[in-house]
Amino acid sequence: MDTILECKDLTKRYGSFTALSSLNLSLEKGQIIGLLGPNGSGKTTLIKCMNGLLAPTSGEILVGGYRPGVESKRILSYLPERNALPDWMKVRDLVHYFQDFYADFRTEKAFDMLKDLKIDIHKRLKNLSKGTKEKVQLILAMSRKADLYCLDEPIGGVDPASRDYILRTILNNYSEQAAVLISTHLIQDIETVLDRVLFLQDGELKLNAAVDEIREQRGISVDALFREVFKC
Amino acid sequence: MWEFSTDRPIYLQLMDRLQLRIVNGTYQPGDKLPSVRELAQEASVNPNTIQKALSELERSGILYTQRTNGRFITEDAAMIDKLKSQLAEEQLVEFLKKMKDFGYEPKDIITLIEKHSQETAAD
Amino acid sequence: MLGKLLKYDFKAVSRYLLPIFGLLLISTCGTKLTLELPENNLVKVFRSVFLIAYVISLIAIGAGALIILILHFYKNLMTDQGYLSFTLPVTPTAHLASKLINGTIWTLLTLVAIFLSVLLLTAGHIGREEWTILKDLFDSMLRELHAIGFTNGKLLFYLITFPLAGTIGSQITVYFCICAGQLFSGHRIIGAFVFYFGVYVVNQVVEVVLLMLNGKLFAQLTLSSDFTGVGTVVGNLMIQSLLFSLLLYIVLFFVTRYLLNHKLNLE
Repeated sequence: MDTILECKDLTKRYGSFTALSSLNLSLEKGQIIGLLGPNGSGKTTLIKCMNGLLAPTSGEILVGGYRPGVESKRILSYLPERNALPDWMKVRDLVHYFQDFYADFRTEKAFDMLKDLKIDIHKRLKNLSKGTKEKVQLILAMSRKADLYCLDEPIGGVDPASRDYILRTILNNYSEQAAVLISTHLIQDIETVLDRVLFLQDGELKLNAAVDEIREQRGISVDALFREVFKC
Repeated sequence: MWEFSTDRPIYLQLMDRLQLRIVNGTYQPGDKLPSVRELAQEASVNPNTIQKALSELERSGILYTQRTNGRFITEDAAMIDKLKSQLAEEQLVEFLKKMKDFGYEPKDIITLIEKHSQETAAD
Repeated sequence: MLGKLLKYDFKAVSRYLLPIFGLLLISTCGTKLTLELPENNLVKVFRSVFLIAYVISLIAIGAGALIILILHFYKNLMTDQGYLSFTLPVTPTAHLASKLINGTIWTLLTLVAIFLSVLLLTAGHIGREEWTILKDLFDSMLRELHAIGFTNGKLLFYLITFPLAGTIGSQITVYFCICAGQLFSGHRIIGAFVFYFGVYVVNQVVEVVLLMLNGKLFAQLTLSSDFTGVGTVVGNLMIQSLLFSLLLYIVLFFVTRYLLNHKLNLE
C-alpha cells in the first residue's frame, strides 16, 4: 500500500474552537513533505492526532491503514517539538530503551550517529546542553526504520553545522518505502529537501502541492509563497 | 554544498549543473555517475528531484542506464559537442540580448571582446 | 511489553526509594549499635541522633512511597514525557497496569523493609520468655476473634485482601484523579484535587449508608449481649465495605482506562 497517511474529514474541536476543520489528505510513501503554517493553524493538533495523543471529534485519520493505536505506533517514528526523554537516564540507557520497545530500531546506527556528533553516551541527559538533548532525541527517532517519520521542528534550536548534519541524515534515511513529514517554520533551510508542501491555516488545508510545481507554475520559492499566503 | 535558487524548479537547475559538468569535462564520456542517493546527499536535495533531473537527461540521450550498474555519461562525443554548442548558443543569445539593451550592436561587441582579451592577456 | 514498562517504572522509582531504604538501614544499624554499646554520654547523643533519623526514615518510607509513586505517574504520563510514553507501541491500559503493579511491588518492599528493620532492632532481646508471652498473647487474640465468628480462613482472607486492595485502591484513586483533572486544561492540578474530594465524599456517603443499614442490627445485638452475632454484623460490615471499595476501584480503573484511551489531553 502506497498511502501512508490518510485524513478523511478529520475534525477536532475544543469546545467552541475548531482546531481542525474537515481535513482531507492523502500522503504517499517515498516523499519528504513539509507541514507549514502559522501558530494556531492546527499543525500541532494534526500531529497529535496521527500519533494517537488526541482523539478526533469526528472524521478519521489512518496511519498505514491503521487507526492510531499500537500497530500505527509501531510504524510511526515521532520526534516531538519538546524534550520528551526522561532526564535521569543516560544516553546509552535511552538507546536501549528504544531498542526494547521498537522492533525496527537500529541500535548500531544510533551509536554511530551519536559518535559522529561526539555525544558522550555515558552522560545523563540532564547533564547535556539543550541543543545536545535535541540531537539525541533526533538520533533516536531517525534510528528507527519506520514507514512514517513525523518530525516536529527538527532543526529549530540547532546550530547551522548540526542543521546540515540533520538534513543529510534525513536524506540519507530516505527510502521509497517511507515518508517523512517535517513540521517547521524554517522553510528556507529545508526547501530543497522537500517533495511536497502542505499549508495549514485555521485548521484548513490551504495548499497541497509538489514543490517543483510551485516553482514552475508560480515562479517563486516555497518560502516566498508562504509569506504571500500567510501575510499578516 | 550546491547553491540553488528556490524560485526555479530545482530539477531544472540540477540539469543545468550536470550538463555543465559534462560539457566542461568534469564528467568524461563513459564515466559512471554517482548514485541518486549520493548526489542527493552531496547537493542536499530531495532524491526524487535528483531522479527527475536524471530521467530528463536520460530522455535527451546524454545519460544512459545500465540496468544493474547505474547511470553513465554517453560515449557519443558528437552528442556532447552538440550539447556544448547548444548551451553556448543559449548563453550567446541571452548575452546579445542584454548587450542590445545596453545599446551595443554585434560588431561593437566583437571590438569590445578583442580589447578585453588583449588587456587580460597583458596581465 | 508490560514487563518492559514495569522494568523502567521500577528503575525510575528505585532512584528515589533506594536512598530512603538506605537511610532506614543506616539509622536502624546506628540505633541498634547505640542500644548495644555500654551506656555513656557520647553513646546517648548518638542514639538520639540515630533514633531521630530512624523515625524520619520510617515516616519517609511510609508516606514517601505513595507520594513518589504518584509523582512518577504524573511525570511519566502527564508531563512532556507523556509525548514519549504515549507514542510507545503499548496500550494505555498497559501503562496503567504497569504503574499499579510497580506501586504494589514497592509497597510490599517497604513493608518488608520495615519488618526487617524492627526485627533487627529487637534481635537478641527476644528470648524464649518473650516469645512465649507474645505467642500467648497472639493465641488469646485468635481465640477471641474465633469466638465472635472470625475463622482462620476469614482472617487470612482479610489479612491479604484488605492491604492489597488498599494499596492498589489508593493508587488507582489518585491516578484517576490525575487523569480526570487533566480534562480541565489550565486547571489540571486543581481538577485532580476536586475529583479526589469527590471520591472522598462518595466513600463517606457509602460508609454512612452501610453503617446505618447494619447499625440497627448492631444495636439490637449489643443490647441483647449476643456477641457471636455482633461479630457477624461487624464481619458483614467489613465485607460490605470491602466489596464496595473493590467495586469502586474496579470502576475507577475502567474509567481511568477510558480517559487515557479517548480523552488524553497532553499540554
